[in-house]
Amino acid sequence: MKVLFALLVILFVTFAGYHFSFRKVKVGFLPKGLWLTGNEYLLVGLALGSWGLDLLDEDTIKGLTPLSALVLGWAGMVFGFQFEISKLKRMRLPYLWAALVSGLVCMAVTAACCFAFLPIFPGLEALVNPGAILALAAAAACTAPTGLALVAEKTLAAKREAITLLRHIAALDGALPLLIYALAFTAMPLAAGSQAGQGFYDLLAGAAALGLVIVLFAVFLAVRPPQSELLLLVMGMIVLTSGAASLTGFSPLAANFLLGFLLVNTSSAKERIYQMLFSVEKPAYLLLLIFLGALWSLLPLWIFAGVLVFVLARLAGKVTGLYAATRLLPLPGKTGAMLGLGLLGQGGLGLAIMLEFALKHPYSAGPLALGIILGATVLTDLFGPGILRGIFYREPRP
Amino acid sequence: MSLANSSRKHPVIYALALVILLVLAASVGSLAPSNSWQRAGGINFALGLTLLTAFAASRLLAHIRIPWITGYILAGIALGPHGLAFLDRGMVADLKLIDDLAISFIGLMAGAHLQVKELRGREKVITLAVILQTALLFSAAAGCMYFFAGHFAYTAHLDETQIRVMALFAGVLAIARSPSSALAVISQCRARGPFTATVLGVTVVIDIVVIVLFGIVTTVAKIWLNPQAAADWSLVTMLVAGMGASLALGIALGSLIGLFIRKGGRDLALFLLAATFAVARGAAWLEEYAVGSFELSLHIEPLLICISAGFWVQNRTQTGQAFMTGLERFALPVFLLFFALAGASLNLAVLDAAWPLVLVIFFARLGGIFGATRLSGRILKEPEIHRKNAWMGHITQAGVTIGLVALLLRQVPEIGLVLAPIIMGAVVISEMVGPLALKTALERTGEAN
Repeated sequence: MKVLFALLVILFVTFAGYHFSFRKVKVGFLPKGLWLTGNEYLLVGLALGSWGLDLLDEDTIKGLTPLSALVLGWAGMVFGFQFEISKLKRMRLPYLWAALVSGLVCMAVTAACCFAFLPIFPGLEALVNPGAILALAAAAACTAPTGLALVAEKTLAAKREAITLLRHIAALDGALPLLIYALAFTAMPLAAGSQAGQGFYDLLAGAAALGLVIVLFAVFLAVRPPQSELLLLVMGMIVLTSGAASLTGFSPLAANFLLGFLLVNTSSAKERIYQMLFSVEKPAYLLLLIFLGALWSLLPLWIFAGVLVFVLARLAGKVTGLYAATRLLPLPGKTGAMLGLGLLGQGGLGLAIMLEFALKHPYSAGPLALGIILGATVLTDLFGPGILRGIFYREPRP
Repeated sequence: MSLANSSRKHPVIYALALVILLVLAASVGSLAPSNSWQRAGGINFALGLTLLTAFAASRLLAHIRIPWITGYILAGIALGPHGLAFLDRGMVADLKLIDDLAISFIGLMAGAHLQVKELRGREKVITLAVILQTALLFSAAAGCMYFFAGHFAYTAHLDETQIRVMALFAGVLAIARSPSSALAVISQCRARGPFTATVLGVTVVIDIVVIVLFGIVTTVAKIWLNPQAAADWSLVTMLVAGMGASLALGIALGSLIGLFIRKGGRDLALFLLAATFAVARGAAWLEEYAVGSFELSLHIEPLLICISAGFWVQNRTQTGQAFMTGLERFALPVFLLFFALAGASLNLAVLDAAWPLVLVIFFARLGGIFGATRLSGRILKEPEIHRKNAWMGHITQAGVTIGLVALLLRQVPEIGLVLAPIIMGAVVISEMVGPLALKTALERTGEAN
């Protein structure tokens, strides 16, 4: 009964809310970054969760598994759709490499910093294991293009090369981190004595099952189904893929990413599927935020120190990553050393990684890592737009 | 190209998809979950597999002109506890969350399909059909049960009074229909016309009649089984009052939906989803509260609320078209999941226990429907094509019957325990045969598109 009621409330909140969120309203510059990225829904989730009304408690969230799977699968598939090879080919190759290098370096720097500094704080020891560190680092490497949308028109015109570079990176830099996270998710035990990692044959069986799912989708789409049937097929495939991935030890997010990648490159229905995925973008994102908010734990208090460590590590990672990319690759135009600060927006993919991680590890590292990411998201959405404006002010003119 | 036509063109593809799904079910589905993460994955996998298997099965069977709904039910049976056991009882219960939602949603659709302008001129036909079908079905099923019950081992232990009571309930339950099944077939065939309007009108009205009759028969049964007890007609009163309240609530909901659409109606499909959910759970909560606090069953029927809401929006507001479009966005997944889960929930074991009486009731009901439709067609001089095929439009039986059987088990358990398997067995057969017969009738009368 509680699950049903919770579902009803979530549906109402999401449905009523997305008409009001993501709109440009005059609420001062600092909160605008928060408002435009839907952060208020984290608070809605927090209020519905065990810290508030206790409507979305642990059992209820488990009962809403199909909905959370749908949201995670949607996030993965949408991200997979970014990688249409024919479009990537039209892109300047250095931009693609810059996105991959930047993401990878950011992930490495964040992982190293978190590994070195998080154990200093009492209560955060559970985070010091490869699985949790890689999840945090992968989430850190992902970037939302939302912040760039806040840049004024005249700046856009004046700094076109730098903004183009940032946009490409923001769209693609999560790919390698997501795959590395997925491998860690699949292969690594979280801590000694906890759930074992997958053996080679398990992995092989899981991969075969996911391969079958992909073949199945291709078979269904060969019929060119009408729109109403396509909706059903996409929903069914996302939930089936998520379920098969969970059962065989794979990451549902990454499995749906691969599914999206294959679909966008092989299916003639890709435009229709993309339109469908895009049409539910806002409600799906709000649902993601509500789930995250409900799982958000503000204890231990040292978690706030962890947030600061993570924010600084990520900041260092973003700056280093983009600096390395601009120095290693023949990118057009001049860019400043601090341009990486333009990539601070956290974005849906990073949050989806963290939701998945928290759902899989509800008792140990999951809530801690989630608390850190959410705190960091609020901070970067609060200050990110100001920093972005600052770096464009300092950025050299072409 | 219509949906029905498009699905008929690729049997090989759907067969291939079914094979892949079955391989997946056998390989991945057989993994024993070792932790909560995998258990959650198992539910998702089951949900996705059910959706896609039912979809593929229905489209494959459509190739041999079997209605989609039969495909959904067969897929549910195949995946359920009596088939491959991929969906066990626990999992079916987990996915029941969808049932409440679907029932209300289907109610809205049924109401919306009842358009006064199409029913106008059919009032006589519908009224006579309801009267004759109620009388003949009741007589046929009750008579056969009374006559045959003493001849089978399954019911041989009952005394004369118990057999009489059982016959009364068998008669009432035989009258009940399945608006959801009828609507699923009508929706698939995109059928429109006088024959379709009559079938749907009779189906909806008969389900209201049967609820009242059930209350009366329950009271009579209690008096017969316990002659010392004073006649307590409160159940009948409460049933009638509950129906009145349901209709009134439906009108209120319909007005709210109409107002929402007039005010812009953005995301109507989502609004309807939330509204149907609120109705389903609100009614259940109200019932639990009344029983728990006052030991009083209110008999608020979510299906009736939604039928009346749908009817109100369609016929008393100017927003019927937008309303239908909003409903149709979710129609396919709702029908598919609802009937696939219904298939998985069917307890086929009951056929083992009481199959001779199941057949008796099924054929008695069929005979009653045939006689009633022929007679009403002749009296009102209906077109020959309608007269010949009308009986095929009224065989479906599901939700309301199952609900009343549950109520029977609570109100008169000594009879319910014996009768329930018989009625459920007849429902299983009717649910397999009914949709196919209705689709054939719609095609023969030329109202299927």
